[in-house]
Amino acid sequence: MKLFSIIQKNFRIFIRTKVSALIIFLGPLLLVSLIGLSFSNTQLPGLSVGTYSSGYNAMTDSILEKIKQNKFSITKYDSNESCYDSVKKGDSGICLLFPENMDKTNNEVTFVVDYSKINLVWVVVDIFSTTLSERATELRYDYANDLIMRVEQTKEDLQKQQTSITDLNSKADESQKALGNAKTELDEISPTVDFEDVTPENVKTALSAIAGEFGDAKDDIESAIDKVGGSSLSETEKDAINDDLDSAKSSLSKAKTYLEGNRSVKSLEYMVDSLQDSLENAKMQLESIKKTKTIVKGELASLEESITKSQTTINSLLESVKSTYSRIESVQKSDAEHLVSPIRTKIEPVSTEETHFNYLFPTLVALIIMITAILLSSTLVMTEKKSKSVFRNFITPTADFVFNAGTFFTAMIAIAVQLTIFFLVASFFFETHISNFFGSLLIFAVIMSVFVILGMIVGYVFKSEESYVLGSVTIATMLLFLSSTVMPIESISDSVRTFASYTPFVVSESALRQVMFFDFSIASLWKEILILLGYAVIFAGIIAAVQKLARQHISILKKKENKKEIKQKINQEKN
Amino acid sequence: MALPIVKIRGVSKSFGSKQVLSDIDLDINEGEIFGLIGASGAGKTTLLEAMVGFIPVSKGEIAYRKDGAVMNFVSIKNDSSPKARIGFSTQTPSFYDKLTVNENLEYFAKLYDIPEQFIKPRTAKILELVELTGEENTVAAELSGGMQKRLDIACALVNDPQILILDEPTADLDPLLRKHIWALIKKINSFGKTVIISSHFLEEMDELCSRIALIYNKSITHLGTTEEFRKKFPYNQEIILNLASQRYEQLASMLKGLPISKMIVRGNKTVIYTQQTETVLKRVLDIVEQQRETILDLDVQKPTLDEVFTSIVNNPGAE
Repeated sequence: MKLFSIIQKNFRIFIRTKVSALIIFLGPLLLVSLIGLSFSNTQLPGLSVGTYSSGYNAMTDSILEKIKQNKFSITKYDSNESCYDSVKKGDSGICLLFPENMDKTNNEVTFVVDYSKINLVWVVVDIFSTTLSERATELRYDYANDLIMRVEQTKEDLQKQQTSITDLNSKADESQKALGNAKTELDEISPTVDFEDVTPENVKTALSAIAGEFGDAKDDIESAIDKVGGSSLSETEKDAINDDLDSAKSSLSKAKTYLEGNRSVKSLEYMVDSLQDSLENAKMQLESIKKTKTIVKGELASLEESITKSQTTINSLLESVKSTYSRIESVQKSDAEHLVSPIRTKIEPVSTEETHFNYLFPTLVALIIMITAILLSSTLVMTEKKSKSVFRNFITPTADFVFNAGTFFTAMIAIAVQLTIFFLVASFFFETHISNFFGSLLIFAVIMSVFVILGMIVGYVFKSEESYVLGSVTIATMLLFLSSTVMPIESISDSVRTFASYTPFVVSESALRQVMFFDFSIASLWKEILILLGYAVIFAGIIAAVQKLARQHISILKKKENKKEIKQKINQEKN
Repeated sequence: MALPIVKIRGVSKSFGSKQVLSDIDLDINEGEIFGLIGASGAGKTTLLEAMVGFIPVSKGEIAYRKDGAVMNFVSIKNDSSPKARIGFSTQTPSFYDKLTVNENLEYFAKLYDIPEQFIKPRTAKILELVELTGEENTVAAELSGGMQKRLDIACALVNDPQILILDEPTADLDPLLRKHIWALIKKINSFGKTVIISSHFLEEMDELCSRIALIYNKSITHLGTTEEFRKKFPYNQEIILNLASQRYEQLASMLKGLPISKMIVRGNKTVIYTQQTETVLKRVLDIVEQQRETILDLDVQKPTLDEVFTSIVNNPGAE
């Protein structure tokens, strides 16, 4: 009853404060309308692009055409410097510097960006890298097609060459065989003749020996005649034999005389000499032939070696051609697309949202809850602290917890109303949807609790109305900067990142994204819920501690105000 | 003899290094109107706030007699139950400006756990008592100063308290409204409620209180009945009169015999010092009427407690 009464009172006061009521009910409408209209696109249509080149050509024009297709406005500057200055002044989001007469070799495009526009620069660089990359891919595609065509031609040539080389190899084999035969036949030629015995001396000796033999034979015949005379042979027989022997003796004498004094023998000797000369000449010629044979054999061996080497080379060439062919053959799917993009990438968005607004939706919701909850609850606490009734509230037999619960639930209800309006407008006008509705409700409640209690701490800690607003904004800003909303949390230094990844805003944003986009179950978000509830408990403990200090401060403030009033009254009475 | 309903024993309070109250001992009896006077910053409000536990005391104890008991007291520090029996009207009205009269009363009634069915009859009765009937649906901020004071008292009465603490109840009210509030306080007291008033108007203390405690230099320096107090601290009020004829000597001779401490001429005005302002003023006005004098200006100025206390400090023999 008390709690309900406190909440009812808070809302009565809230509604009667027209500005507050407007903030609660019109704030979300305004917010969602502004954000929705601002971010309901997927591009950066407002981005202006500055370009400069001392010589534009077809290639640069084709790139600029591509940029125009993305609905960016292009301004061509007269100089490098003016293009730079346009980025510095913010007239251009990016300046593209093209080389003069850009071509395949002279192809460096410079992006001039302003890194101080930290949230824009990477988007801009990404967009233009992609745009240029698309054009570069088109060019690469043409180059690759040309390359493939040439490779195909080479392949055909190789195939033809392979047959020729095989033929060449066969012919080399045949040559090798022919050479082998020639060598064998050459080896069979033996130009060696022994002329040693064919000398005139030998002939003479032979003839002397024959003559000697003839003499011996004559002597023998004479001896035989003698023996025949002394023999008992009849005379007739003796005469016959003697006659024969005399005849033989005469023949032998004649032959001996012929041999010893005949001209024919001399002629024979001459002939033998002549023959010997001829033989010597023939011998010399044979020696020459022998040398020539050796040389020819050497050359044949060399030729054989060359043919063998050639064959090895031909075989190697053939292997190489075969290998090259098979390698070309083995290049799978050798089309331009695969050469240009050997690795094909496909971006598969984990969510199917279509506009920046929808992508930003969980972050926006977290942001709205955080800012609204901190500001609203701190305002409620400060209003109560500054209210004249704070004392009367205290002196009632009502526990501090009940007042805190009243403030807590008032803020929770007000934010819930705001969020409902926000979601209704967003779903009606911007077609946003929540995947896990009931899970989201629970997460909203947990997140709201954390930030409402945090805001209450701010309300109790800060003393003046100015400082609590500053405090609320500072805390919200700090939490915002320590999240991925402004800069990716991954870019923060290690030590701070660990801390930042557990801040209430980051945990809330993560939980909201999971539950709103990806339909994660509440059970799978136990870690985030636990962290947030942990924060809520810690913050509630801090409230209990600071509330006592705040009360003492209220008392001091009251005294000062009373003192001031009394002095004023005394002065009035004196006057 | 009335029994004490509140016992204050050895209470000291410091804010940081600054001591505001030092060793206060006090008994407040049931059914009396008890006055607490002191200069601004003397510690009256601190003591009253400590009495309801709004600020914890640094030392000592403030205890309330248990409901229905005779000698059984509970310390406000350890037991918040006495809160339900205390009503408190602060110097600056303590309610929600943006709520209506009824909404304020109903809200505080609910905080006192008053059953729903009793709230409406009780608020109606209280509004009648403080003469705010007809203003139920008026937003508090739109009420006049006097009405706001009465609403604040109404809020203090919403729990039907045994003890009503009023901190400077008439500080910013005109004399007519002040008398109205006095009458209201007396009426409330007539219902048997103990009333504790802090004020720096001696006249108010004189009008309402049966006993008065003077807080001076962080401690209670004097405690007694109003009669005892009056004897200790006689004070004068100033009647400043500007007559067209400026025949002040004639007037002085005609006022002889009245309790006038002194009469001086300051510029074209005369200043009459008296402790019985109403009697002297009535006589002055009679004389002016009889003599057919024309009054250009008439003003009554009371010395502040600061002035009285300064005089006490400067003139210790006054005790």
